[in-house]
Amino acid sequence: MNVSLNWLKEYVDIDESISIKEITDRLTMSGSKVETYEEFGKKTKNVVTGIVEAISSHPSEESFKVLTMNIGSRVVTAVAKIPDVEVGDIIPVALPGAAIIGKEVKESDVAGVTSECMVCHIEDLGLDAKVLSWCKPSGLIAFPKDVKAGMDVNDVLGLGDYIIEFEITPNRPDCLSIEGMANELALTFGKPLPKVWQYTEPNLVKKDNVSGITVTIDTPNCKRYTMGVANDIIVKDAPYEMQLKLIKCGIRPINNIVDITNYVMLEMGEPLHAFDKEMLASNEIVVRQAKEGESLETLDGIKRNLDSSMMVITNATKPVALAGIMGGETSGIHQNTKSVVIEAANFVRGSIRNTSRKLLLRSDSSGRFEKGLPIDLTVHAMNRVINLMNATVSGTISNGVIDIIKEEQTKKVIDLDYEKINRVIGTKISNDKIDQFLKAIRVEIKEGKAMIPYFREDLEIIEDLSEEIARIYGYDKLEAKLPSTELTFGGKTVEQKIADKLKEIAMANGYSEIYTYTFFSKDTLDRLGYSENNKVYDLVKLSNPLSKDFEYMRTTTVPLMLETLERNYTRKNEEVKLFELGKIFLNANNIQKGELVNEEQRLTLGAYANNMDFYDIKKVVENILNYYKILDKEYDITRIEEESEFHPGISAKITIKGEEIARFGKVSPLVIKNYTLPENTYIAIINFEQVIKYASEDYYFVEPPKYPAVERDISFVIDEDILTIQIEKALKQVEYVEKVELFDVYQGKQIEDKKKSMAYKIFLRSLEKTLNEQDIVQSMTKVFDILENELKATIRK
Amino acid sequence: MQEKLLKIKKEALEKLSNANSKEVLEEIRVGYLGKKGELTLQLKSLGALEVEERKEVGKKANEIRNMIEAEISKKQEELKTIEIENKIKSEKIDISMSKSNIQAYGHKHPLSIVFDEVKEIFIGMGYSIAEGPEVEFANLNFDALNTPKDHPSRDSQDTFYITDDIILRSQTSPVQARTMMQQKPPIKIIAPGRVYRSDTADATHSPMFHQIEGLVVDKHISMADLKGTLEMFSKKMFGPETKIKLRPHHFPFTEPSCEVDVSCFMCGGKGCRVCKGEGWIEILGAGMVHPNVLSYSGIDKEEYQGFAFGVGVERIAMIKYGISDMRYLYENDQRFLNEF
Repeated sequence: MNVSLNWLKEYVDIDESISIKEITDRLTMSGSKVETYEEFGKKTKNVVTGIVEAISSHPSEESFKVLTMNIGSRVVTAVAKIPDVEVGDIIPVALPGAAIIGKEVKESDVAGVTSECMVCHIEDLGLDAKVLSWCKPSGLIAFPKDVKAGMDVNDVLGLGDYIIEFEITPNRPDCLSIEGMANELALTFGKPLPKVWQYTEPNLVKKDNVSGITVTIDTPNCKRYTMGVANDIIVKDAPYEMQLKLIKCGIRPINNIVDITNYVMLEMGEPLHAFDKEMLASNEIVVRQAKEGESLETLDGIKRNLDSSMMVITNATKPVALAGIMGGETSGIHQNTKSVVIEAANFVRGSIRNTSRKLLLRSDSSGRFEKGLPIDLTVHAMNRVINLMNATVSGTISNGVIDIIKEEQTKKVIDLDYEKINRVIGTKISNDKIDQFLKAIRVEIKEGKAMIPYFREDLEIIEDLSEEIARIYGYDKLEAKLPSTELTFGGKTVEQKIADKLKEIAMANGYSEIYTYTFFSKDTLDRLGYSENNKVYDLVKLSNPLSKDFEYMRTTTVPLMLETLERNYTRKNEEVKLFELGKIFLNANNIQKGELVNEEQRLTLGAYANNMDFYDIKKVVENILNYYKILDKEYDITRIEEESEFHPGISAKITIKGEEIARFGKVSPLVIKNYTLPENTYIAIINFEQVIKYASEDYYFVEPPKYPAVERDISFVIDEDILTIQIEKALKQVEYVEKVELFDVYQGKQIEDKKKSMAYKIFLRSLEKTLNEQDIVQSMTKVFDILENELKATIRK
Repeated sequence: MQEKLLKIKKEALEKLSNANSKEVLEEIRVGYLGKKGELTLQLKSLGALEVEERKEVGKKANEIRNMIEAEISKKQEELKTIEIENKIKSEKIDISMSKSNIQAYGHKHPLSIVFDEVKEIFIGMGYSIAEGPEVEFANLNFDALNTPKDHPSRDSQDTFYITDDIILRSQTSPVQARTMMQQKPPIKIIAPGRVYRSDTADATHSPMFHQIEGLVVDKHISMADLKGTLEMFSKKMFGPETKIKLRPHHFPFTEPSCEVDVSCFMCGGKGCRVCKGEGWIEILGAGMVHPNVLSYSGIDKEEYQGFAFGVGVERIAMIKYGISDMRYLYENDQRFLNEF
């Protein structure tokens, strides 16, 4: 909301010495947040209004004109280069002594003609032609005709005024008005309450029929409809002071009738509408919901297709206005309008907002109605309209108004608990002071109760009054201390600590953390190449996605990881290692049962690098799982047999008691072909929920062995399908075998096809004694036996 | 005999003091103490002497032997030290080189850095960390937070709906309600998490972003406690000189409500590029928990009062690290990540 400071100062006496900075800072601190402020023109001197009485051409210079102007006290001439000046124009004239564009104006000779003064260009006054609609194309200001000659331009334009832009919170529709803001200014500076029309008792005679017109409300979305009629209308310009206020607050003046309705909206916060009575073509006004298929051309010249969710004002047959948003083109005020119907109504805010959003049509009117206005405001505003119609001699007001009330204004009363007010805001403000603050917001105090004024429907409970007291007292004066609650033991849960640790280990292994979107498109998922009946397609769908890109909650983190790797790869980032600890959303069919879905966390690793192989990503997974001693448990590592995005031969999953804890490996070339990614792309998915289940931090002491270990090297040729883990598990069954270490694997020439040659170091140790030759031979014989008979290996001697 | 011994001693010590290599030292040792060494020969010849003289000379000879031995080992130590020192002097490498095959530490995402800092600060003040689902019941996201039925935030233009009753949470506040339903005061939690709003991604918007919310409920909590807590948080987060400013504002779930500015940590309040010349930066919204919010979650609003606050993680990260466009945070370019 843009507000002219001069206008506010008509209500509140603010000392001229108080700077705009101080005014806006203090208003912000009392709750009216100032977004910005801007000076309206620059104060000047010796610039007056002059009426152009004659225009003659310059004797020698074709482009110059010689103007004769009446400046009230005398007639002056000026030589000027203004193509669009006309006799009768009232224009700004800079007399000698005025400073224009930093230079002092002096009488001068322009090619043989004396120019006594200078005609001001709009920019000379520090204004912009876009702001002041009185400006002609050349930049010449032509004042409205009611501006007299010889007036100081400072006074006419209010130069040096400030236009303040406020951010008004949705609970304060009263502040979407000059009177409301004047009240805020007064309480901010401790000034007396200003006299305003919002709180002036209306003097209206209510009738059922005014000038032959009747009103019917046929929708629950209209709470009150107040209507007046004015006949013998003279459509003309509004007084320049009124026009100027509209201009400063960002509304373009049109004519006296439209300007008066806009003026009252700005002044009091009640949007009004004026219809041309003849163009209504009916004596019946019906407020109702639109019918399917109806349409209306609004004042902006656009034809709007309506539906039954939209409320309209009709002439009983056709819509003539979109209620609370914009009038219709045909029933608008025209140059030859003779009678007008003026509407001050109250509409249900949700209805206005929905229609406004549906039609993408916002107006000053809808912006106010959608905040919710008090029902009684209509009659106060109608009272003011009649006052202004009379004051500006714009027409003859019909006797009486129609006022249909479907819902009564509620009168709110709050028990005044002074102690509670102080307890909420942590102060010790006296009862007298609280009373005084409440009076500043027009709350009446009767027998310990606060009587809330009709325009403050936001005040409902004692806490609301606490806020009012706090803001008037000053948030900056509130004490600051730490809560003295009972001692609470803060900290992270075990799960939160494990999450942090997993991320830490991923980083320690060179992986960097990413944040990706938790929703995705079907196209994104399709790139993984799963069949449609795979459970990854068991998706939660948004009913109102922003676009197809964000339509489903993700059931897998992999496509986002691959897209991120792809983005990096196309940007020529050579080596990329990323991880994300993020959610996936499972059990979509819970939604149909009205239940929430299962949200599980996955730690996803993704990387590509030239020299990377399967064992690199496997090592990272092992490092992560080993931290919590998960691989100390009985686990299985197997190939991924089911449908997946992994290369079937170069990937694995680790399970404990059949539950998968991690899967990792090379991304399948069939998936890679759908991306711009190198063949050497690896991912790992660690199931966070399973990590939590099996994570152990139970440490216990085992005495390190006292007796030395004996090492023996063996090598053998074995079937290529036998996994290392099978060999290791089998050999570790043998008595005294402490561990086995693979130190060489070879396949190729000299080795039979589908076989591999392996070399192990066997460590033998007893916790009780130093092993003797006999013990060693016994153990090694068993080792050879297992290799040859169980694993069908051929020992190389 | 005595004289002979003294001469040996003198000569030996002289030679030792001049010895400058292991070889020379060994030569000296063999020359005096070896099987055919001068001193050994002298000791061997003791047998020819009278008992009394033999005792005396023998004692003397042994003293000299010990002395030479001690001197030799001392000299050995010295030479060894010189040898190591020479070796050290000769060893010099290009210390500006790095080894590329050793894994460098990865990088924490800037949002996580902010999350971690904020968590650390509040844990220090005795807060716990509460979490909740992102696919959430609409009533916990709105009704529990005193959001009127016709409030614009409920519009499908603002909030993502799955069904009429299940949504993507538009704020972390449902965690407040969930906590109050499960726990008796005193309650001191922060709720960090991911939230969703129907905003097209641009430099300052994202359909998905992150918040951290705080909630304290107990018998005597007032706005003074809120102000003190946010002051402490701001000083820890942005530096000990940081000041805060509470401005009146409006939220449905708090009453009274405020927006909170911190003095600019770049310029200290003088006005600069970061604070756009204001000297202050808006960082969070806060207020006293609305009694309807307490009641909805089963907390006696007559007995208890509380405060709550919410802060945007992206906003803090962008201000703190000078990130010009929100989209960088979700693009995850390795070069961007390496900066943190």
